[in-house]
Amino acid sequence: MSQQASQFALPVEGDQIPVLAVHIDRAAIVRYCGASDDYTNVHWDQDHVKAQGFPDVIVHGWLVFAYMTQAVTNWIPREYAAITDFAVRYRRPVYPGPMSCGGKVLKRHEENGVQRIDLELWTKSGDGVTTTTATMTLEAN
Amino acid sequence: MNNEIDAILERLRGRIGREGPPISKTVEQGALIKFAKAIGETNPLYLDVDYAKASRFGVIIAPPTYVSTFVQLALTPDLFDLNLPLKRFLHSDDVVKNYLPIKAGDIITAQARFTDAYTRAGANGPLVFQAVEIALTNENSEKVSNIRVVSVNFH
Repeated sequence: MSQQASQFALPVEGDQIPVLAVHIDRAAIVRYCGASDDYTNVHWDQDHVKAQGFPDVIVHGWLVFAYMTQAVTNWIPREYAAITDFAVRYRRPVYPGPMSCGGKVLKRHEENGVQRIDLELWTKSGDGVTTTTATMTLEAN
Repeated sequence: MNNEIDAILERLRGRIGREGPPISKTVEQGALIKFAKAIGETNPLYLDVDYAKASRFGVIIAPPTYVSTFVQLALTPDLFDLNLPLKRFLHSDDVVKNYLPIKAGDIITAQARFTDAYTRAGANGPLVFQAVEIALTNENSEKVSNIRVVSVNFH
């Protein structure tokens, strides 16, 4: 198995990240509650969220962002670059259903001999509304 | 309305500097694999022990968002105020800086600190934000990650 960065062409400014389409259902939310130990009731208690005025249970922000990172790492695998920084903004609640995650390269620059890649990321719900945005920096190995 | 928000902010700002207890956890290989599966990961670095062994990490490592599990541990009930008159409470931002990868076998200590409270006008009324920062260190007292979590309350 080859894990040499030299064989991988790093992206340049303006490159688009291939869009990752995901469908998050209630079973995926329950699995994530268990794996993350996050049982906050807005993620599973339908009566509670309805009483609060939300139409459905809310997908964990971190689960949405996990798929945003996979859109990135499916494209530049972890073997070639590490995620050093990210900032995520949860703009609208995400409900169970389809969503898509994408983004683009803002800038590639060298810092102390290391290639750093700045990205801008987004998630859209099935109806095309942007729910989550993020910036991320990768450092090539 | 403004008086209500001022009173809330004053109460929240009294929390600035408040720290939760340091909480330590040994990162278990099985927990990492379970987490990777729950987020739909397919990279063998997170799932396949033999592949990870042959990698430069030598062991299974945590996917980038695994840092969130320490947020759950470190956020004691006296940090974010969940009982504001603006009853709807949501997660607004996460800002993370990673210094070292988290690996199976690491003993990670998480310590949370309330760092900020502020307000902003929203389309449907005021928004009240609270920020808590969680520092992760490993068993050698090396910085692993810093996580800033921001919540928002609104009517």
